[in-house]
Amino acid sequence: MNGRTSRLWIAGTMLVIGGLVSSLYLIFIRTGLEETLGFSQKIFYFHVPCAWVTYLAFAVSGIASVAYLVRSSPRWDRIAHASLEVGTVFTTLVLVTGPLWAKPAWGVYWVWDARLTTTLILWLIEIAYLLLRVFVEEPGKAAKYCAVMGLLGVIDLPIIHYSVVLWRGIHPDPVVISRKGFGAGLPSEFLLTLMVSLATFTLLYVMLVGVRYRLEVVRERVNLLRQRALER
Amino acid sequence: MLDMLSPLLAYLSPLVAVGCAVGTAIAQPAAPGDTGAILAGAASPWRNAHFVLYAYGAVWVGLALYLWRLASLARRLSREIDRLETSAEAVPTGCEEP
Repeated sequence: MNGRTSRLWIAGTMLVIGGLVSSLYLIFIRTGLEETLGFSQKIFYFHVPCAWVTYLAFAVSGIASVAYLVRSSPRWDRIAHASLEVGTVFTTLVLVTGPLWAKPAWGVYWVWDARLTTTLILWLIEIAYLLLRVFVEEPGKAAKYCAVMGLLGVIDLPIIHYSVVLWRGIHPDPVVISRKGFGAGLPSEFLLTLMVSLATFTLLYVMLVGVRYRLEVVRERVNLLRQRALER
Repeated sequence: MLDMLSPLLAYLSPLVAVGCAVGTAIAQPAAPGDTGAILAGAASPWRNAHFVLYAYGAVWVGLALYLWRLASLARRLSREIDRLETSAEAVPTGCEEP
């Protein structure tokens, strides 16, 4: 790692830490309580950013998968893999925080609502993707199968997002990006807190993908060294 | 690069601890007539506070576990590189003086 990358890394880490501290301050101290849900609504400020990062991770992975299928460059495959793995972490967090919010809001942890079901399907696609990485031994084949699997997940994204509009379920409609306008469904102080949290989680995602990408480069180097050792 | 992971874990671990501690402190049900009274309705808005603690705890623990996994993968790869490079140096090239 050169000096410039190292400085960027340190700056990014500091920003993430600052962002997380600021988010917690805004969430628990500055932002008031929502009238209907009370304190349990605070889950919203981590649940929605996790969902946003899930979308972002899949979108990046989808673009990188298409690029890999077109150009066959391992760099694109590494980006797709790194992004999807980090995305899986955040989808898992969505599926954990969601039911923990659903219980006080709806009285049950889980319902087979369209939004919840399609999100669960996305998580299963992610697990299938990661299993393919493990069990397909030939790297070229694994990359191709995974690229197709990643694109399958991308198809699920608009279905998840518009599921609450298409099939009237129990999950609330989008309040940030909606037909009424950006953030129209939220009071301004809630929106500010959410934006800080969104920015922090996005930066955290970028950094985690960066780390995962570099680890994949190192892993390839290890495989190359192993291959050379076997040839001797 | 690999060396940078450990400081990141070191920075985030206290945050995880502080986050959980703050969450625990905040999640304590408020006394009657406390801040919760600003809301309309008889039920306290703090009644479901433990769900907030669980949700935030899950996020912190989930992220910390993933960082730990990345750090352990980095350590394992680093050790493997050292081992392979050492063994490569130890292999005779066949050009040595008899």
